[in-house]
Amino acid sequence: MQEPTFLILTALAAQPLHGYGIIQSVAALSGSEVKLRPGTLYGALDRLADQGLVAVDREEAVDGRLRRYYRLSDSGAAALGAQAERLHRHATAAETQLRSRPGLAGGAA
Amino acid sequence: MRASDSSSVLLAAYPARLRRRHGAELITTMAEAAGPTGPTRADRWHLVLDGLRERFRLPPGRPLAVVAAVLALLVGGAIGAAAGSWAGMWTYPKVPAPGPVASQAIGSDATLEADPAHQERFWSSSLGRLSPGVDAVEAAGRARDRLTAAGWKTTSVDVSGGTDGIHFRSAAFYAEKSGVHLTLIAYYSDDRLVEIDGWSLRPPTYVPFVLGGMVLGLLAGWLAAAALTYRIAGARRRRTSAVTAGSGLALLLLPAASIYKYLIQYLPNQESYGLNEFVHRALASSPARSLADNPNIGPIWMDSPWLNKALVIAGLVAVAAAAIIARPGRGSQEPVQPVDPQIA
Repeated sequence: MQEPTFLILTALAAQPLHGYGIIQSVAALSGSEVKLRPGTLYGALDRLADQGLVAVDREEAVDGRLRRYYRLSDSGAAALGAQAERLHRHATAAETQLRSRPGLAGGAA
Repeated sequence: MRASDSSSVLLAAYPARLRRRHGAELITTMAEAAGPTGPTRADRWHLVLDGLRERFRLPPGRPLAVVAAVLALLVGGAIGAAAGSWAGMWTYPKVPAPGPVASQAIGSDATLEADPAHQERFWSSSLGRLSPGVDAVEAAGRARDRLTAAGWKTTSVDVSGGTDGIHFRSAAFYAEKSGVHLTLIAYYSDDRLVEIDGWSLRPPTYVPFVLGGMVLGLLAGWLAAAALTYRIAGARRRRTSAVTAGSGLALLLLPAASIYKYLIQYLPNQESYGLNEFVHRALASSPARSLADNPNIGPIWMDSPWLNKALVIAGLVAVAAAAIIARPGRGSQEPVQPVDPQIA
């Protein structure tokens, strides 16, 4: 799973969001490191919808503009959980390895 | 330009599937992300670039789509190279009518036949008979001098043959001018034959035409495969359309192999003398060797332009049929739904 996809699913984990809401949420989650463009976002959403990981929640019109809200599906939540677990394992392994690095304060000699 | 027209232009970069499903949202989200000042030129440019990039994407998790796209890439490249070769063929210089040039070369040393033996766009051939008492080597030498004086770049006269009991002894030289190659051969045969052939030389524009056509064909092949595989992935009659498209692709691979064979054979190999063959030889009778194309059926399909053309047409028809079979159903259109006033 690529980082933008992971962050989109993460953004939708707590609540349904519309396109611009996802862009804002991804920017906040990544500390402004990942700034999705509309074209990138909807390409990814389209693929995620085809894979059944996200679904359209509802549609609204605000100031004459369409807002379609997307939500995480159950299989999307499962995929996100599995990826988060995998990343967590990798992060833990990296931290363990770093602690074992010779010459590092607190590490093995 | 009205806002809706402007949006349509921006969205044209996207595959139809994404335009149908997310067209309005793309424009709305771009406007929202831009804030009160509105989208900048860079925002619009990125929207277009992202759309073009989407056109190259294949459906995720479908290895057969990748295989089909690679094969379509190869087929597209072959057909593009053949199309480029056909277009580049018209940049070859036209061979002048053989009569005046042959008369200029041979002078009074021979009597030329009234009609040329062959007169094509890219090659010509004239025959004549040496006058009584005229020696073949001397006649060839004088013809060479006359053409040199007329601005032709000529080789020395070469005398060969007459030792194996099969080939007549002959005197020959070659001349070039303005992209046209000339060969004059005077024989020590009983009928004292003189043959003057003219050929077009490959112009420097030909190879760029072929390679340019090939690049465009590669792009078109991949893009067509990406669009069709997405279409099939979302089709109700997925299996039928996939089998039809696969059959079409299999048919197209045969003429593509023929074209690549001629591409490898002819593109890097520019003959010093005579007209080189064309890369699109697999699909069209050779203008250089039209006689060899009769009856137009070779020992295998690669040598038969007729059969290769039939395979291309059959393959394209099958692919088009697959696209029709896989046309989006009502459910996959997903147009923007009317907004529920209760929610709005």
